[in-house]
Amino acid sequence: MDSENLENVHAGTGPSRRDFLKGAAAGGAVAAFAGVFSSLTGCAADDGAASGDNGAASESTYPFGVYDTDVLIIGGGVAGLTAARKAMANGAMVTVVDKGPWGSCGTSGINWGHDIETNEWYTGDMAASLPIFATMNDGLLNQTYGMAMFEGLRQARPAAYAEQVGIVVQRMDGGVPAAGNADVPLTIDHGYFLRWHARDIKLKGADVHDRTFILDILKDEQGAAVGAVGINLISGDAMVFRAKSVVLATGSYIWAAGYNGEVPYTIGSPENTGDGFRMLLDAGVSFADMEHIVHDIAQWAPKGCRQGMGGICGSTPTHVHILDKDKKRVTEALDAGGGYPEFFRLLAKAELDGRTFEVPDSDSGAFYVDTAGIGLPLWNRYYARVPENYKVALGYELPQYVKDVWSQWDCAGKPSKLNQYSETVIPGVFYAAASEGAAFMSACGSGWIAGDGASLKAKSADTLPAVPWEQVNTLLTDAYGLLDAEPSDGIRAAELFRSIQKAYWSGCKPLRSADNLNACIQEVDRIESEDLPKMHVPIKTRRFNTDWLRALEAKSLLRITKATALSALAREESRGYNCRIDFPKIDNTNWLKNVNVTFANGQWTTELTDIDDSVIPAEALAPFLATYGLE
Amino acid sequence: MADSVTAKVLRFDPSVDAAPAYKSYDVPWQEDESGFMTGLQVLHVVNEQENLGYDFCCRSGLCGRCSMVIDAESRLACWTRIEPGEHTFEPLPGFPVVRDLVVDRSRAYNKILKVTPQTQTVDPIVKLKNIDKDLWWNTLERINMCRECMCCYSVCTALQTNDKWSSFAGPAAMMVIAQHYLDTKDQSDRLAQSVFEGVFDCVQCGNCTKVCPSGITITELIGDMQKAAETRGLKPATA
Repeated sequence: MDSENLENVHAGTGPSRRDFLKGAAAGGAVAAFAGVFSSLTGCAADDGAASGDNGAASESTYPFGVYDTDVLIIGGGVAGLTAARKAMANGAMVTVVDKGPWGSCGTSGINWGHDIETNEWYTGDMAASLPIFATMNDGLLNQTYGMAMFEGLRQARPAAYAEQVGIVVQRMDGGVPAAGNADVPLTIDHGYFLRWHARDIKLKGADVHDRTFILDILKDEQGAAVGAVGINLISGDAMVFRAKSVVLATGSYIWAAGYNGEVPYTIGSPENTGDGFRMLLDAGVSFADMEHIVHDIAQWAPKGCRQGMGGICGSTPTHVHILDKDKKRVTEALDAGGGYPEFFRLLAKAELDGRTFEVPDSDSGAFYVDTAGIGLPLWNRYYARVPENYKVALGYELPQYVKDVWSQWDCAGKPSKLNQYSETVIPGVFYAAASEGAAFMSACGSGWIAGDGASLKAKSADTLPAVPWEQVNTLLTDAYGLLDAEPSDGIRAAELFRSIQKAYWSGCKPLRSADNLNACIQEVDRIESEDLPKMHVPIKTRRFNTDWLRALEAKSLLRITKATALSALAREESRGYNCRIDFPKIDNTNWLKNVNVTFANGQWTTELTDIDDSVIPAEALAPFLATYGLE
Repeated sequence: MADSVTAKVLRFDPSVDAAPAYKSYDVPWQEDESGFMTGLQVLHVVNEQENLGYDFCCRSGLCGRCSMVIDAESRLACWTRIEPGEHTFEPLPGFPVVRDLVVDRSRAYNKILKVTPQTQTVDPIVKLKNIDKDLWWNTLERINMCRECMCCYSVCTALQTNDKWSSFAGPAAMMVIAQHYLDTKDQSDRLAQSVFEGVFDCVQCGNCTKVCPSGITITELIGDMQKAAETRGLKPATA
């Protein structure tokens, strides 16, 4: 797309790089760096790759490997693997990096059998289908982006492709798939197991580096992405990735959601620490809708299995079974229609009205979920198996009335500005993740368009960029410094991590108020200024050191906690997943706006912008929106 | 005296230790209404005392990452019922140790990859076909839920005792083949594939079926393929 960078990179002496379909990554400058090897074979070492910077590289005290690719995909969940599939279908060489083990990456790696939300058999006009999506966060959908994203979903054909990679989705009575191949704007199959996609991507030839934590994206002098730096979590070795484009698919930040004595208030994954959010926030990228963390309820006992997807959660399919402390229904209003955010607000109102009951260890009240009659076809496959699993595995009889407590599991926040290829304002960085409160479908759709855009961009670049060695050295010095540090009055990284989780929950939990949010922000600031310099990793091994990983992730948690709390503070109404006790009403006249949060030059700001209503004008949206907030 | 758990953990950091060694940790008993602790809970407490190498994600039996040997049985730590007393925690056998209770499962994972997990159809799948619901719920769905925990590989007689790593795909890989063999939309010859992937190396000991958290009837499904292969004249002379 732009050729200005060509002066900065070597004139390859190898085969022509005009067609990336033919070119191996010639010029992975093998010989220039101390203790370095390139993962690619047969590269002619040439002296131009880091033109002018050879001195800095050989002065590095940390050995590292250099890995070259066309498209670097950071994150191997639904979004990342969909991006990989599309980029590879376009002919690009793809590298996928994830900090978890391959096949079990991020939240999707829990592999519980997600719902597949899809529009793949819909033959109608995308604009006509948009109202359904626009209501998901009560009107806040970025409609221009949504058109591109949901068209990406349609092209990705997730249900059909799931069965192509070996997944077998749920069959109902008569052997019919749940969604019935229906020509409708939105339908749902059940039973999405990401690991089959992970196998497929690896077998198709993607270069996979799992158990690898990316520290940050590398940029050239113009501020365009040129790759990333990471740490292999098994060996502790450093890795520098060079790429022509980057897809950032690191998923949600939901592991921030408080610490309830065992794990956070989330069914999410330990990998969901918002590292991609941190990279972009630190680069000054604005984020919209951070306050709309998706809420749910999740099983509380047995304690060892608390808040797991293998238990009984709430959610709209089971909302008729959710009961208050007197075993009375809570969400009758939803029977007439309404979606996920409204379901959550009805539960939040119930807690406010004292209709929940106490459970040990939790500062939130509990609801009952009545599991009488659990089983197919009334319950989806992931719940139908739960009583059997607990009985066989743990000798535990699931009670009829299961106790469920607040849980958070995904985010709506995403960069405020994304073009139709999901490219951010950082040239060469394409964003792919669940957003808009629409989980699977947005992760899949955004992955598709990001993979498309990233591979098209890579195709337009003749050569790989130079590596900015100063950035590499700074990042590695910081990362290894966290491991090696011996501060006086050291605070163990795992403990500091938990203190951030507690701060997050104190403000960003389901029922919010200005007082709680401000206290949360103050505590985050205090942790960052007072505690972070004392963070300590007691055991110094570089080999699978989870304390070191907590230390590396701590800054991500601090950033997203502050961004979320500031965004929640800025929305002075109750809409979507933002429930404000002090602003309980929904205000469709004045508040059809997005909250945008930015961290630039050390300063945090929030700004309200009118929603992008390029397809359905705001006035026309009104009939589709909820009329109740927290009242 | 209050109840407690003694967790005897086999620790090993290959980057610094000469050899594995057991270390015992005292874990105060925490009871909730369920009346038990889980193995993963115990390990969380150990990690509070001293950083431990262990892996987990879902905490409720779905992801397969916390597989290890507890009291001499291969199982998921989060799905292991722990009562007060001494319990031993060891890494899965048959795999190189990364650190403490985490092993590198590649040698088994590569076998799953090798048997072409994708559905092989001449034309791309566009619409989903009907499948008998009982076949789906009782067999295909269980196989689909294979967590790649590799407990089955750790107890497989053909692999761990008879050393058939070069010829036998192993239990989980055999189940991938079985899934496609039973779900007729796959158009490749999965029965022949099972033979070429060593289906007759299986001695039908049943160890794998006992440890599978997905409840896959592994032994029976392999036995079915052995019989069907023999009927088709595909049984090796040496089997």
